[in-house]
Amino acid sequence: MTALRDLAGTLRSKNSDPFHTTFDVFFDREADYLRVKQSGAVNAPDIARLYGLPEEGVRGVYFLDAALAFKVTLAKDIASSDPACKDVFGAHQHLQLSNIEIPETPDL
Amino acid sequence: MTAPSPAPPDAYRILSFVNHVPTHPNLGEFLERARRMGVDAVCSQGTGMDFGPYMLGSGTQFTTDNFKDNVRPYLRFARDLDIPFVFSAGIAGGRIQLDDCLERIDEIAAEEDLPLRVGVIDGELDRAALADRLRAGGRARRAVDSPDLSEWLTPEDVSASEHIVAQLGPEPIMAALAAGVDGVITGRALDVGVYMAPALLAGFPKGPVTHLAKVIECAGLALSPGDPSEPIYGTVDRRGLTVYPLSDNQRATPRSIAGHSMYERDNPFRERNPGGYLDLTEAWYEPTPDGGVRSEGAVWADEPYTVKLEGARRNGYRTVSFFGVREPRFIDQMDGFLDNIRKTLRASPRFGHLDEGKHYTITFDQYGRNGVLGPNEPLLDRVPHEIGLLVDVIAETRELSESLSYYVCMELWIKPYPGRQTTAGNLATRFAPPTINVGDAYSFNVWHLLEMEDPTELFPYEITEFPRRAGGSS
Repeated sequence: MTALRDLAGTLRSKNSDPFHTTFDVFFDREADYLRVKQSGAVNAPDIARLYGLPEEGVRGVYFLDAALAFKVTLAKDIASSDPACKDVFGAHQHLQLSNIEIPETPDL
Repeated sequence: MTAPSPAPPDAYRILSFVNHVPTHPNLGEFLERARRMGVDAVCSQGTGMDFGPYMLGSGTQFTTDNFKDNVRPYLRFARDLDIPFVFSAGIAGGRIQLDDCLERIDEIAAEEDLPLRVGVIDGELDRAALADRLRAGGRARRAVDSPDLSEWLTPEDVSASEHIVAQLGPEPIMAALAAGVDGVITGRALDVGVYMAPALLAGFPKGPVTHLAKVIECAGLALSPGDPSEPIYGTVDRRGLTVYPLSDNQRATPRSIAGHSMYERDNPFRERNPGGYLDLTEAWYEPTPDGGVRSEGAVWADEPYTVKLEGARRNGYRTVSFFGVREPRFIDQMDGFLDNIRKTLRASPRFGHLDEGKHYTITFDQYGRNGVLGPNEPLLDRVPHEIGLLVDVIAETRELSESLSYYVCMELWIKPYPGRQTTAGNLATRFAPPTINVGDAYSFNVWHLLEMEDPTELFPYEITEFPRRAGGSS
């Protein structure tokens, strides 16, 4: 197993609007991208659990072959304009995602 | 590097920059390269709600110095080439912020001896007229599903908002450009609309134009390494787009361009816009031999026209304080200690009649423990050696906010806890005075899509000549 952070190049979060956080994860090597994509380890139920959300709070998990990247969009439990929001830009919400363990690629 | 881009009418060539970031020191070189490549329009976005609702609600912006420094050379460039410019301005882009930016345009026009005939479009809506429109059957559904927003915008939401702006689309800008002006300056506007307007007016199709606009809307942020203080150069034709860097600091790569196509968007394949969406499912990206990236395959699909409204409601007045905690016994009991402060407040003669949550909120953030991720912190059970304690009080009035904050300070300083040894004070106080008045706090209560028949109806342009005559009226 390898943590997603050790396979990704860029791994970022940002508000897509004040009520959603979107994560963009880019890979420098196609093999790493395919390993993550094909592993199934990046999936809505697990991400919902990591972020304390109901599963419908995961608005989408999208893989973009053209960019060797995937995107995840989550409903925020606290909107970025809420007085109790701890991250106005949503730019520092990546940790739980980066911790996801990716299994080794099975022998082809 | 030479970048022989196709000449009009086969392609439309846009120079793009972001106008509210600091100016790049080598801008002159970038503009010289753009001049050699040929440019048909200079476009720049300078509005956005990234910073949260404060500036919209309070009618402020950080500074217009960046705006002035940035637009000056680009205005000169556009006038020298006699090509149109389109700028959105003022961050939140309300009327107050737009007026501040127009003041700086006026200064530039006078200082540079650069007469400018500008179509000005206000992005702020008259709240009474909007409420009337809703009462008369006008509809605006929330743009995203959130329990913080009414499903359909109500007149009450509108009157609770301090200011409401619209992300006006490309159509009002096109109308202004067609009226014979040197350029257009708007308040709040759809970022991509600023780049779409001149290319659509020149007759290029909406799919490639919108995709180009999306790719270049943050200027050099779409390049590698990303830097929004560098401009970007993009061309659009009937089938697709090609983008180029304007400096040797950055490269355009298929990954950087494809990656930026999904930046700050919830869905990378479907970009919702006024009057339709951009479908990027079939988009492909390839390097060109001259250092650019080519993309084709974006498709525009029409939908009923809506424009996104943004409004900020005042929550109250914010006062904050900050402390450091290093004592292990206190750290062990921190959660219970903070809970007790809330209980003491609720039982106190002065504050007992108030409802926490209605008249005031108190937020304790423990930096070093769970200050960033809150209850989702994976290491919540790890005992830290030090905690930075932020106390955030928001109350109806400034007086109440200050009073509550000071009360919390006293509790933190001297309230006993079991096993306490540090009887002269429980923690380290970072500031004197201990409480800091931040100002009014706001939240977005309008984030809705207003249904419109005519995209230009709410956004007339007004032609203004700069420099405005000094010493006239008023």
